[in-house]
Amino acid sequence: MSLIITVMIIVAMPLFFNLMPSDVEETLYIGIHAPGLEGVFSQMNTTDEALQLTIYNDTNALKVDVEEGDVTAGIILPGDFVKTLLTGGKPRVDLYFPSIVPGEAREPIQALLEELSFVITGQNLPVSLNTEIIGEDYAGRQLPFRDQTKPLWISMVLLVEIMSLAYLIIEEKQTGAIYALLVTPITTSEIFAAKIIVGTMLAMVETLLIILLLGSFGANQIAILLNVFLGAVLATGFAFMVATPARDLKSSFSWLMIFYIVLLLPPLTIMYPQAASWVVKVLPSYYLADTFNQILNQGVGLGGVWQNLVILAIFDIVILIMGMLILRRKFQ
Amino acid sequence: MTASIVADNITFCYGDLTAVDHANFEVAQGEVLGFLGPNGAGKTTTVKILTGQLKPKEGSAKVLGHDMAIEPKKAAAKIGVCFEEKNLYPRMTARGNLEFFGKLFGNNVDAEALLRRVDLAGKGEARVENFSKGMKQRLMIARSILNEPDVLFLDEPTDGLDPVSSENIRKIIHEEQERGASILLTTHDMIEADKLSDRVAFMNEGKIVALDTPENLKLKYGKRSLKVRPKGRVEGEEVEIPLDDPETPEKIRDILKEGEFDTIHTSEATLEEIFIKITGRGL
Repeated sequence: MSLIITVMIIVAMPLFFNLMPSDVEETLYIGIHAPGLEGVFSQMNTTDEALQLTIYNDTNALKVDVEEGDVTAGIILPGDFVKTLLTGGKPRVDLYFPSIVPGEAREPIQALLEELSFVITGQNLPVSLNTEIIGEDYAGRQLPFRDQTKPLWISMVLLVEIMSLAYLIIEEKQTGAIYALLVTPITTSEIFAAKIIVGTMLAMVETLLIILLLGSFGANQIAILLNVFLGAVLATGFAFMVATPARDLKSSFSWLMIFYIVLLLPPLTIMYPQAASWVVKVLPSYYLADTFNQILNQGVGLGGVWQNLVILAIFDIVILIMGMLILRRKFQ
Repeated sequence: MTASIVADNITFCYGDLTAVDHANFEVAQGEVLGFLGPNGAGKTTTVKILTGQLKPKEGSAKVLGHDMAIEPKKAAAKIGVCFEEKNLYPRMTARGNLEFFGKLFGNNVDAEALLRRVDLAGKGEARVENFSKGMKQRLMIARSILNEPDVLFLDEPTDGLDPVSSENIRKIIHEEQERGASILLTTHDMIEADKLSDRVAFMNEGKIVALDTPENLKLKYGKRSLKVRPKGRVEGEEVEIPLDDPETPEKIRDILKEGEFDTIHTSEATLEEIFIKITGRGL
């Protein structure tokens, strides 16, 4: 069962990863029907790469493309748009958006139109705008969505290993083989040492394999290895905890879900930081996922992630000791 | 000579239930002690205390001079345990199970020889999950003797075995005894206990209620008789003459006067009958 889970992850994860788009779409596609102003808007296409205007002669065709999502927004200007503006009137402009476009995306386009109207009437805004980028300027270098998901995928591999390792221990309990070990000269400490070593190695090998298959084992290899090792130890400690109350493989599933729901939250919030609260920082998987994010997506080296690694190591020790203590009680 | 196993007033409780209640007994070197009792009597709990898996609430359990609550691992290398549960590694082969446990004892095990001894020759490469109940039991026996233990704990060793295999296991137990091992044998099978044990202990509700050789127990609690079926009478119409009665000789003379007989034999109480007599309940 453990082998099946491991093989499934090694095959499925890189497959899903490579099916996701590998680049970032930075161009805004807008369809416009502006009788008499086609030349003006065509000119805007050649000067602004971030904006791609498609001129429509037929308003119905424009509406269809908006509905199908071929353009982000559709603008229909009346034939007397400029004339009405210049005579102080208020021409009616129709804006169309597909249902999937969020409100935050609609507002800038509305603002753009309003500013355009001022420009056309010769009334510039009475301010002088100064634009400055603070921090790393990711213009043209934004992360594709699939790269943003790397910390999540890699953390998931380690967390799924909790299930594989727990299953091995549960099976040993179920068959009673663990009790046969306890009456031999081998001590309980030696049994745990063996499980920790094998569990950590299995989790490490699988995770490193995934990182290699995702093409992410490039720079900062020491930092990656350390984070993978600490994540593997964490998975082993949690496996002990999951294996303790479970009587069999079926009952372990409910315990696993509790752990997964809690531990997968931080890797998700790494992708959507605005959804995170301070609570996620008390979970060990936050430091695991955040370290992967910094190393793999931001190019941060060991010097920049050492604090996360120290916190993760402390979590490892605590969880491993707790896992061993509660599992040991079960043997006795 | 120091006894190999010394149980001194051992007591163990599962919550409010007293599973073992001040049990006292010893097993000498080379002796087989049969532990008899119904399910829930406390036999397996006693074995767990003696093998160091549980710590007694009171008393002490010593094996080969080592207190099993304090230093169980000092005796572990020289004890063998055959559990009632078939706690083998199911996805390993028979050979793999023996060699793995052999390594834990620091031994290079001749797995083939062991498998031959328990009638599993040629089954070394088969996975245990494909074994029958009887084959697993035989492998359990093989595992329990692979380190040539000085003390052997056998919990229901012939459970699930056919008569031929059971006889083979009894032969192995006898061989181990001749090698000098002390054996604690828990079983429901009174006939087996009678055949194999130098002494038997009856356990009921956590207490040892009788401890003696089978012969002494029969003499003390049992009833010996002579059963005679004169010719012409059908089965069930036997005449039973108690042998410990003062009138026995006269009764025997009377029956002999009948002339010819179909069957004539002595019978003695079984351990089960003695157990029922002592405890008021059966196995």
